[in-house]
Amino acid sequence: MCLKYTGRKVLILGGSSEIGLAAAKVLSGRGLEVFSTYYANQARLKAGAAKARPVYLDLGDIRTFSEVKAGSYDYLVDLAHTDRESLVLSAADSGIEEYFRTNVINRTILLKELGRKMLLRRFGRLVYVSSAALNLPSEGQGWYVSSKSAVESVYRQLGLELVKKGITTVCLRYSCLDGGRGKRFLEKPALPPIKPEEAAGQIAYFLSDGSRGINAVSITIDQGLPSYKRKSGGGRE
Amino acid sequence: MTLEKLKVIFEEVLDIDPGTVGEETYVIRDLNAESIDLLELAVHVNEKFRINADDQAMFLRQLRSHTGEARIRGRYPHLREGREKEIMLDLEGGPVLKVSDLVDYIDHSLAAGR
Repeated sequence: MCLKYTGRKVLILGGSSEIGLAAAKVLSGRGLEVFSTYYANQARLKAGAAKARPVYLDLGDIRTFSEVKAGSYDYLVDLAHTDRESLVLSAADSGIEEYFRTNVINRTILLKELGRKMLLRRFGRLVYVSSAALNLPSEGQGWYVSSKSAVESVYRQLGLELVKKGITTVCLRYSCLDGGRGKRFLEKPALPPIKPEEAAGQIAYFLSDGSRGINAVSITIDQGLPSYKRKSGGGRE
Repeated sequence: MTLEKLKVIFEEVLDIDPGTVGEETYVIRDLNAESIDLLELAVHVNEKFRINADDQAMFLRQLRSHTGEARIRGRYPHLREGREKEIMLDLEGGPVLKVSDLVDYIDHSLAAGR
């Protein structure tokens, strides 16, 4: 498929994840200038996506946002999310606060900065990689799905408010990914799991000019999740 | 100087002839600026004047929660002298924000920065 891109610079939040590495490779291969954030895994980022420029960012600490905020990007691929699996009532109070501050509040602060820069150029496309767990959560995923749901709402609202100024968003609810934390929830899927490279190709499409009519919505890519999802992923804290 | 730069921003954001913009022009009543336009305007003001504008103050948002000349002066200290009285008399006519208010906000911020 021939994909066209009006913009040039793409920022991948969570760039050292398996999908992040694959996305950096695919997008740089399509001529985009890729910047990938890392938190604990710079070495992996360098090894996996030589063409991506590493940018340090700890979503849990807004003091680390300065390097990302200094740049301006045409595209954003948002893969960053911290892990928390526990029954809703068993989570520590401080943990709940930290989890939502990191994944919802701090991310929104960052989006505000990035979005305002995009406004200056009247161009931007943001892809948020969400989870099909929002459609069908398992026990222990309460904090994960509620925070993802909040973030999806922010992205959809951004797409709604900014489309007049050339900025659009889409949320991709993945499941059956052969990578990341989703693995432990899957059993006997009907089709082979979606490889990070395949997901990267899909992300490349959803960034491209041809997909921009798909705005302010969430799209599920799950191979028919209800047929194979386990009841629980183990419920570890 | 500030007004001239603002006119360029208005031209970019609202796609209007800068010649139609003067200090007495109402931003919302006359130029039909919407919320998203004001946001874009603020981003350009920040960029062009190198200030960190508070959208609430710059666009006189929540003005109706601060009615009364003394309260307006306290909340929006950048307004030129006498403007609070004018605003009170003008409230029934719709959104009171004028281009001159933006000019004053920017000049006030620049002076504070210095």
